[in-house]
Amino acid sequence: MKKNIITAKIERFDPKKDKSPRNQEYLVETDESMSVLGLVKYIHDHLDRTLAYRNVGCYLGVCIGCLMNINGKNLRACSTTVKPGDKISIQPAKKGYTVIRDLSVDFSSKEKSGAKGIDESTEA
Amino acid sequence: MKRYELEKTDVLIIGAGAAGARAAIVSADSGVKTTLVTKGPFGISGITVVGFDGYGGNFEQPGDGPEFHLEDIVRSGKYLCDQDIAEVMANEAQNSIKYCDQIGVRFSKDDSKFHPYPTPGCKIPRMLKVFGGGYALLIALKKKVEEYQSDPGKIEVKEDTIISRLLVKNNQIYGAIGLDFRKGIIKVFHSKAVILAAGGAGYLWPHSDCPPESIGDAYSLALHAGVKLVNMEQQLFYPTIALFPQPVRGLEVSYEWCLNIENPKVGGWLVNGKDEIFYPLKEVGTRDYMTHLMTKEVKEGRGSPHQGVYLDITRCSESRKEEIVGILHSHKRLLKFGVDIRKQKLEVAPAAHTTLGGAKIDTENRTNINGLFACGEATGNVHGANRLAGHSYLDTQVFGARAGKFASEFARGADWISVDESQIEDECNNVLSYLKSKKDGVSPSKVKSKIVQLVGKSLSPIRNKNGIEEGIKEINFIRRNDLPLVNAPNVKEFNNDWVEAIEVRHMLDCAEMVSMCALAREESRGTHYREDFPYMDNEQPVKHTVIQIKKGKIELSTEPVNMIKFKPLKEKGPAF
Repeated sequence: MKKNIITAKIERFDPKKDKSPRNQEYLVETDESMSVLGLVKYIHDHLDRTLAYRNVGCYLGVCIGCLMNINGKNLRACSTTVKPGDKISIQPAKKGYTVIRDLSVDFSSKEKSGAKGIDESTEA
Repeated sequence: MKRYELEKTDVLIIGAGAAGARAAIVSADSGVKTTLVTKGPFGISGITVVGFDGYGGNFEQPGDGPEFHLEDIVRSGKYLCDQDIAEVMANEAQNSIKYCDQIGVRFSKDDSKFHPYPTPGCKIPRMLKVFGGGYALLIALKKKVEEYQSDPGKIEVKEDTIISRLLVKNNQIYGAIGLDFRKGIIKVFHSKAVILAAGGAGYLWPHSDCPPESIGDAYSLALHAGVKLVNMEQQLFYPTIALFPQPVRGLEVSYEWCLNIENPKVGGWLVNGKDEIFYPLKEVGTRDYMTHLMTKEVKEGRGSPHQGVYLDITRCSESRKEEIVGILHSHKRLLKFGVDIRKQKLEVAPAAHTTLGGAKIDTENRTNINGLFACGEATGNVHGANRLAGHSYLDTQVFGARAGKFASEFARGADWISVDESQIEDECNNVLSYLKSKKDGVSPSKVKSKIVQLVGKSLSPIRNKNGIEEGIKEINFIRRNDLPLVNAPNVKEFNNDWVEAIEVRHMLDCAEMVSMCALAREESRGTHYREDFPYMDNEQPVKHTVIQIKKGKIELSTEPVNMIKFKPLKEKGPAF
């Protein structure tokens, strides 16, 4: 049986080396829905070990450790689901967070101001 | 060119959860330079973030006070805590709550008086609800830390840094070495005192409600520093953690709210795969006992489809259902993913929650290594063989504050010990070796999942000799065959695999320590149940299992438990 595919377009950027960000496409075969954080972890563990992302935090939608810009919105990756057949664009969190590398951002660059910068209403 | 960056500080604190943050505040307040190191971003990493919404203590109510509180702690911990240490926790409970109240943590109150709720194992109500859970507690502490950060030189916070070794010379600590993975450089922290506050190894088990970073850094660091660790077999499972559907897996669904402790007849209940209520039939017990019963249902073939059981409130009265979802912290998130527990049973299973074993401390938070202190989940003789509800926060705040106090006092009176360049050189080589390309190199995440699988099999809440020995064989196999091949891509900045490679080493050490202690404790006590020794043996003096490295070899021994106040009946009886 042919498996379903999630197509993820992920923004890659190393400020030390790259002039500007580039997009990289990953195809993940799956028959099950998963969280975007689960998808990114899968891509890192199985497809591209050079991808940087934050693998910390609550996984429960409490903190903002997994904040990413998903299809143009700042969302918690642990609380946003993606299903087989979906095409998804994942970028580092926007709205003032400094990118360390790829999807990892510096939270201290923003959090002191108290603004979390989440587009809450659209989370799952 | 130096291969590392050197930083000097008086007190170095490893781990920035509730314990480490509290220690930092007290240390900095005493005027010494304090550095707080954390593996993730401060305030959004560590186990406190996922902590529940209960804070245990004793209160101004009839029949309460530190004495009564201590008795509850000792009995529920099956006499395995050191009673002089637990006594400190009971004596300091009220002060710790007052402090949190002052810095803005919101507790359950009636008017201005604290309102504690009843919990299993306690003769009277002992748990305040913390609005916003552990995250709210941590954010309140973080705000306080930030006040000291704005006063330059008081507290420095080093985020995205994993410590890989403690630096010890002649039984005296002089700092720690690790990887600042945001920048991709090795850091040496040269300090007079160190506080170990990076406890928790829940993520070694396949079903855990802990965050992925909780792989037991503190225990491995302590081990290689020569610290005495006790009771590593005691891993507390929280009974009702969501198992299925996938998006809510790992979510805590507090049985303290869903079951009725004062009147179990009104429900909810735990129901097995055959739709039979098996718990509670009469009363609601402590976590160790519930975990045991749930594991038994599954082992004996009465589990749910995903090898758990059901939490069922659908049989409750409508008013009781509303009462439950009104107080249940996780109801909103369950609803988000389409799970309404008022209408459907939820598949749950015991999940690795709190590591009760760890560094042995004295009443002033000292370990056996001069200048090295420990607090929070990193310690092993505070709670014993079970932990009462809400007592993690109590532990972090009482012992965090005390570690900060005693470590800063120590640092003020201590001289600098010179850095041992050869030790640092060795560890630099270790850490950098992961970036080398290796023929047949393996990714750390692959080895990690191997370890998790073996721990799930051999160290589940119900254990036996053969299983544990099989586990040890697998650990040795992984050490010999996989560990030398673990590598990471050659990238400096924010290289997840580089961090995880260091973590593999820590995980293997933890799995080995837990296995050795589990094998050595030939009885069933609290969270440690041996099928082949299904009784609690109080005929013999109650003992800690002790792990310590001597001459490069991990050695196991035992030590009597401190019992200054309460003693069990001298008998060999049932485990629960």
